Amino acid sequence: MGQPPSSVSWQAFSGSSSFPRLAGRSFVVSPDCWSSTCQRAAAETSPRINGNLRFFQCTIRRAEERRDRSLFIRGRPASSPVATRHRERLGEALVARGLLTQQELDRALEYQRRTGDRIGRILIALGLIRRRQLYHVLAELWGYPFVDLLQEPLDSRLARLFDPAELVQRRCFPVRRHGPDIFVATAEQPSAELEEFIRGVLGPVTVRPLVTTEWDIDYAIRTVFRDVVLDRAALGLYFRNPDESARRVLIGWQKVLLALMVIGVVLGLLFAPRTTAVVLSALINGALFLFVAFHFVVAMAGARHEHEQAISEEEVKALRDDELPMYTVLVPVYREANVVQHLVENLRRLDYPPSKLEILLLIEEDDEETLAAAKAARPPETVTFIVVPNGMPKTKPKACNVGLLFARGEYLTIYDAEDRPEPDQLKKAVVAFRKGPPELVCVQAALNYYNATENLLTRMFTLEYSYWFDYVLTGLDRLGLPIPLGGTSNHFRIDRLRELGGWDPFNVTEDADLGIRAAAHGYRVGVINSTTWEEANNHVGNWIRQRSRWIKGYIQTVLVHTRHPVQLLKSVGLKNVFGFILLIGGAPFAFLSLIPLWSITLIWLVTRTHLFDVLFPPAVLYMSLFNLLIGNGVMIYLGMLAGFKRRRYLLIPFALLNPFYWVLHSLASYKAVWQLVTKPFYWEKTRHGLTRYLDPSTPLAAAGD
Amino acid sequence: MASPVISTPVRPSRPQATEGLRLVDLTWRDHLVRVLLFSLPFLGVALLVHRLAFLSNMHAHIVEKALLAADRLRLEVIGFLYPPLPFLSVLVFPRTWMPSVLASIAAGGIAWLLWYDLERTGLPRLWRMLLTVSVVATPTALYLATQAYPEVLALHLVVVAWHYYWNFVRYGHTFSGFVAGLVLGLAFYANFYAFLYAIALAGLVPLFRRSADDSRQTREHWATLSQMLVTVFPALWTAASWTYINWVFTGNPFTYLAGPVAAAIDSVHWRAPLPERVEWLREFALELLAQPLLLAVLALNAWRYPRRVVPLTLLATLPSLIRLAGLAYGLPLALGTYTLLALLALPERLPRWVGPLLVLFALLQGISGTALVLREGEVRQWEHVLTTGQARTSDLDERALAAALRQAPPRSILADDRGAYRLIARTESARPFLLPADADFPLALGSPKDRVQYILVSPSAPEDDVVSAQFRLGPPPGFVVDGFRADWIVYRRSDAPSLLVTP
Repeated sequence: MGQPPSSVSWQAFSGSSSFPRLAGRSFVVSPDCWSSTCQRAAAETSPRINGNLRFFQCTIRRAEERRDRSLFIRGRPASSPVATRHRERLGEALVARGLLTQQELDRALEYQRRTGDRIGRILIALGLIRRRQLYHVLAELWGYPFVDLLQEPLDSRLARLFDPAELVQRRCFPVRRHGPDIFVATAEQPSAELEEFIRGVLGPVTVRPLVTTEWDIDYAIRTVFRDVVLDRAALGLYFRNPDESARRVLIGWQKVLLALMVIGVVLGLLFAPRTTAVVLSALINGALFLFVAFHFVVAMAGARHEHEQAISEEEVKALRDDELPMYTVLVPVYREANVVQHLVENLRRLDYPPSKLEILLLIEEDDEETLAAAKAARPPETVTFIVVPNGMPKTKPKACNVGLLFARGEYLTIYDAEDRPEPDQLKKAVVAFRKGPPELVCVQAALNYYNATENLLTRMFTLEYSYWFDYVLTGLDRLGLPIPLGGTSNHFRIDRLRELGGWDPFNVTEDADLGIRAAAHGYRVGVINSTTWEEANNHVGNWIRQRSRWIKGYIQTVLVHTRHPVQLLKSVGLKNVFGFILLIGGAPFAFLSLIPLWSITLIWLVTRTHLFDVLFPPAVLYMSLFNLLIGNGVMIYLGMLAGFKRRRYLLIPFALLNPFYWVLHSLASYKAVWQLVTKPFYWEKTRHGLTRYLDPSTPLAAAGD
Repeated sequence: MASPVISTPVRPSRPQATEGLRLVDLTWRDHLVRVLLFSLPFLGVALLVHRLAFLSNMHAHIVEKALLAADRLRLEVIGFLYPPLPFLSVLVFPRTWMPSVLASIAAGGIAWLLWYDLERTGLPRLWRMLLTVSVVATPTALYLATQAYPEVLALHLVVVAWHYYWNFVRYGHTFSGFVAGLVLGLAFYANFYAFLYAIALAGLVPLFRRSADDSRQTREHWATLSQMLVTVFPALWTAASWTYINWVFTGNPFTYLAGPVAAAIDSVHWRAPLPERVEWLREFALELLAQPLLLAVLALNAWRYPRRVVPLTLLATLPSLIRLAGLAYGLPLALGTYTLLALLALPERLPRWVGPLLVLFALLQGISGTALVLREGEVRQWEHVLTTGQARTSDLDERALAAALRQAPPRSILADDRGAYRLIARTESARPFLLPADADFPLALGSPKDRVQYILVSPSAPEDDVVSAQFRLGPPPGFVVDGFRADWIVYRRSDAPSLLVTP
């Protein structure tokens, strides 16, 4: 405290000649802008300034090379800017300083006429200028000094008086206190509003604006609020409402009920084995019957409306770029150095004004390899690296919560690193939100696979995904039932998402959980007719890891949302509770019961034993036969139709192999249950980038077979 | 609550998606109301015939098995009767009039769908109405609609499937393919021939399919094969499932093909030598030539859509091919199939002058069909009862005997439902009878005196009626003849009260 920011670049007017040079470079400070105290402080810290200003030295060197001294502007550490040049427009200033050619400016202005966006963002998004260069010039135009927060020691005690989320949204950061003066770095033009905000927290102080980039601000927030960010990302939902978090696997009554059930079954098998066995058999077969019937009804509802598109091409074309809101894209990556390059290429294909696109690449703190690869991929300036603080649980939803904190868009979506969304997906989501009711919190795009024909597993997986996204989710949408979100390509209204508390980092299917939580809060989730092409898991071990995580997450989701059954019933109604239980709870149940039931059938077929007769009194027998003979047929058939709808004709015969694929599901479900008991929050990481079709230029992406 | 996003659904821009009639364009309530309205004439005939005590063998079988299952509360005791769908629907309320009512509603559904589908032709409403009436108001149609529930149900499902199938192969509606396949699969549970129709329709996909503009021929082939698989898979699956069930519960996977209700195998024709079968071809050809409406429709297709002639002709010959294979495809069913095919195959957008011609041909086909069908035993008797308003004596006797048997205590009458099914159906309860499905039946057969009070025997019962076979020559020890009624003899245990003589 007590000294002005040490890395403030007091850059001079080109016309000034009386400024001291620092370290022999043409880095000059305008002493007339400073109070004497500040001048002294700056002089005392000049060696540090010298050491910390490599970036600016480079900038200066480049400017010198361009023989254009006009780059250097004068900052003024006061709440009122220097009036000089304030009428100069940014674009003209950049051209005048040789940072931009007139043609480039014309191109940017043309773009601005179309999008209505700010010229600075446009220039960055188009890659015409580096962020730092821009803010240096802005600092000059606004008449405030530029500060490099990467180099500047930060006053944590001061900063922590503020809410980091508010700092992110206001794009400012309190750097240092000097007596009654508060030096505040901002990426927005300093305004009275900023001063009011600072005074609102600190009381009567003098606000001394400094200019910096929003990257610097984000960096400073992440650095100073590292523990806060981590806590909010990991425990925000839990502290807000512990009953909505999977941090506790079971709450009191659930534990009691589970214990009673186990004891009941054990006692029943001991004292009334026949009755107990029949009851268990009836419950299992009855539940499976309901599960199959529910899937059939939902799929029929989805199929029936196949010719109704949520969003038409005309509606997308009618969108004007200047109406489009800021869109945040979260891309959580972990140990995926090999796909970062592809990610950049895939996101470049999005049909959305780059200046209105904020891509946050969420990289775990300990994942230096991916960070290095990401840097090496030289992504466009619209891509921001967000380093996720290391801490437990180390899950994708936690990373997404960190991303959510730093997101500045109106809408937000998530893509995996290897995703290839259809170019107009973001626009379709915007149309959907505009068409939809106010309570529409999220729209889900379909997911499908570009490496479907890679091997048997990818074929089966593709059929399953086609069925799920093309029939089940559409059917749920049409029936007005809660929709469990898919892993990616779910598009949110960001304010509502924050209101819901973001993702649950303790739930390993945070997406499904969020969809159900949204329904429980009275919000709606819809679907849009757009597809994101992903990489299907092509390795059995990897597939089991992924699937066991999903099934574990489904069980977690059911346990979380049934904690207050009466309340749930009141808030969403019987139909939605029924749909939720059958869809989310039905899947693990069906897969867990598959191996025992099929084993009984197989043993009976081979041995013709009467050992199992007791399990199947007439009504149970008919239900069981229905499940075996009709249910399985229906599920296979749905898989076929899904393949047909996607025009993946070569995949269709593989639907006949679904029963074998379900055995894999069953194995994964047992692993899931085991993990729920032993490692409930453990995130079974799915390895990506294993496919040979990773290259985005592969023609399989959107085509049928 | 509908989709939050699809608030104002829009059709895709592809033109073919908007073509064709889609049943889903009407709500199920709209369909139901129309089906009930179209059913009214059939219901009238069905109830009239029921009042005259007429009961077809097919309906008697269904009602008897439903009564047995309802009383014993076990489906497997009746050996998983085939076809199960008519049986299960009658099980809701097993009475002798129930199959006729359900058949009438199924026929009403067919009539409504035909009327709906005729919109494709673009003919004026008057001619469409006359055409529908002229094919419905024939003895063949009325008999099927009131006395052959499994067959009319199968026809109904095949017509529904055809509607979706057409939208699937012609317009590429995936949902339609999905429903067509499922309905054909379901139709197998109504009649075995639905399975054959599913195979035929799947096989004819390449011929019916509209050739796409897609230049990638290989992909086109796969698309065609996929459509074939989607069409046939449910029928194959249901057939395989039923075969499995038969194997599990009877030890013979194909028992159902010779089931009493709608036997697929004609025991006489099945064993006929090949030269004899060749002789049948002439008969079948004459039968086809006696279908002027069908021939006219084939000609219209040759004129407007020549590509369709071959597959439609193949479909038209299917009943003949089935019978040639030795399967039991009844004449009323064959004639009904021809008529339905004729109407379903009418080309789209016909000129107005075709309307009166079609009505004329439909009337001619009705006349020739009547001439053919009235040669057959049960149809002729039904027609006689209907036209004269006089009940058959045998029916009245059966009804009277059944009323007497209804008074007997539970499981007190030893009978074999392979012969006594009509009586049991008319009794409207299986409770008084001890039947082969009961565990005690073999014991009672060996020692009736210890187990039952009455025995039901018919001299004209089929050979597999083991009770009649065993006691045809006279009552067992301890029993006396209680009386004769409607070709049946009732034996009474000496100490039991008489059922036939009112004290």
